Amino acid sequence: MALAPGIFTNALLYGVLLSMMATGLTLTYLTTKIPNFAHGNFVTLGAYLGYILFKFYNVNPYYSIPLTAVVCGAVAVFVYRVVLRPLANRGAPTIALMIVTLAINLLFIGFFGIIGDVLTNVYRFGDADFFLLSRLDFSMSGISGVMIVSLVCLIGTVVSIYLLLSKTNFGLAMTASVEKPSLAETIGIKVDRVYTISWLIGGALAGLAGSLIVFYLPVGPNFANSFIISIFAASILGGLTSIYGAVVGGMVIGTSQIVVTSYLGSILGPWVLSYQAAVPILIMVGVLLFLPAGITSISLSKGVAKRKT
Amino acid sequence: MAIMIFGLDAGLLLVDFITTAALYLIISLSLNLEYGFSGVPDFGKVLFVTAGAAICGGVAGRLAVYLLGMTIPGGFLANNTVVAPQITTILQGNIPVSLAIFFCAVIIAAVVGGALGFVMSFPAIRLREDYLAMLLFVLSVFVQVFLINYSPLAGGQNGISIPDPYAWTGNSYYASMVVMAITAVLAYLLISRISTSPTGRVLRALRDNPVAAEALGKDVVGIRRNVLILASAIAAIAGALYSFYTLSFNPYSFNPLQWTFYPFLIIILGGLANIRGTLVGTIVFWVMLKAISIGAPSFQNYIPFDTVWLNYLLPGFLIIAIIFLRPEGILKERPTKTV
Repeated sequence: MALAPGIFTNALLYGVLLSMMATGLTLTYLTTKIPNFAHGNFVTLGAYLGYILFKFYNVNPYYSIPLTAVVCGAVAVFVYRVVLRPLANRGAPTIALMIVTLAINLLFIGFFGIIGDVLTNVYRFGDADFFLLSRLDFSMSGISGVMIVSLVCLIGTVVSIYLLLSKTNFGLAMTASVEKPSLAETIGIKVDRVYTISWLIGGALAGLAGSLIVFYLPVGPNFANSFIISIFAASILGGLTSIYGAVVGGMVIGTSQIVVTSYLGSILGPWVLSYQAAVPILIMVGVLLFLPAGITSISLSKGVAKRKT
Repeated sequence: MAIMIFGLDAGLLLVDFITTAALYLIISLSLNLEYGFSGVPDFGKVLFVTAGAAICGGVAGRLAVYLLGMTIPGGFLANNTVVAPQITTILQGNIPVSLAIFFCAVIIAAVVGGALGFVMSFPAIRLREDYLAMLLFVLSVFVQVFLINYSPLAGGQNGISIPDPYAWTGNSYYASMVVMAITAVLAYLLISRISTSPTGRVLRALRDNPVAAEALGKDVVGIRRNVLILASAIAAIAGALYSFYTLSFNPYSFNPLQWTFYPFLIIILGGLANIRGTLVGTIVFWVMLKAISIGAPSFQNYIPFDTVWLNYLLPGFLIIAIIFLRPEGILKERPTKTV
């Protein structure tokens, strides 16, 4: 049995969006060492901003991308500076910080739920708790606009991060802050500013993914919970230490989640399809147990590099 | 005459409060043993509770059918919503079978919970604590996906009905509360005994400095494994008792928010590695949560949003507030009492 032709573009789009989210998560983990379980909510925030701007001012979500990205980046910085940094400076253990990010996740979900209800009850928007704006999308010779824009954005993101890290002083400062924060501080690098900027970039990338995802998946208050595991799976597959690893991880997790389950479903029967949510989990468990440093630790000449976990 | 609070029977509310608070006390105590005393961050607590509840759902009805010698065309699973109430009616006059079902289900749940804890102890020994937390978290989500889609064990997404093993007592609502409360007291005594015993001191030593503990000849790996097995078995028993309380099992009711995050909140609120703190934390948090859910309908008409979102906002704010204002919790960890 052949697979439906739409599956591959669908899988590619999911992979591209996941890559953007995983890049942001990896960037914040790499610098501040906080596994942020609330990262998916920056995506939901971006989607809600796009939706609200469309409903009130009739702005196509494509045009509101710059504003959305800036706002999501600012919210991410707020979360880091106001909640997480004071705790980290006080020497709170990583597990306590993880619990706090889970709490922030709850606050975001409650906040989105209230916004959705207010839009429904006060402004009479019928779909504020579950919206999909695919009707606003354009299409170019049969390929959906969101596919083209997402690919362009991802390539643009990877190129600009590459240039930022390898060609600018900020990139050097960031590498130094990741390698040895105390030493970087003594030679005058403002480590704290580097951390803040990494949260800004991470939040902005999530907001970008959120603006695009409204053309592709229906969004509601709980949206982040449906793919936060996929984001973590992508980042962990990429090793949690490499931004390029996160991009590859996002593509692998996104495509395998859709293509592999569809393929197995066509061979073994449709019961496989209901286990789609299990694919990223199984990949993540396998990576954590057998390749804890991720795909970036595989070297063709040396085999798998050992890293203490 | 029954006393009414916001249009609800106060007596029934109190019974429900005591039962669910005792349930959370058991789960939180087991989590405090793991995380508070031993430093194992069990972000997959829901996994073991769900396993116990699902095993209870899968075992109780089938065992009753077998023990009562019933023949059901199509099997128990296909007709469970019809057959379970029929079994309950029979069990009203059959105390031995009721007790057999109750103890078998609880013991099997404890064994399966312990076995799962044993399996989970393998990554627990190898991984750093934040990776371990993530691993346990995703595995708990995996178990939920599995139970939703795999119907032969406990009915899949439709869930399964459970016959009432307390039917012979005349009032299964009170009986359920008494059993849950007794179990909570036993769990409390067991874990406070462990924490004040030499083992408890070894656990704290492992948590605070595993290298030094190992150098002193303590079996770090083995002790951590035993803690995970014991705590998981206790959580599974709590899950099984909860199934006997609700008389049904549905995988959708077991989410990480209510069964992993709430217990973490309780032990952090009450104070890590403090047994009495867990008791205080459970009561304080449960009073807050129930007050909102009982009081919410009365002010629902004055606000433009559903009060269900307060169930997200309250725990979120609460945990951030505790970690900021009083990171050691209501009651601090104390040095072990000695004779």
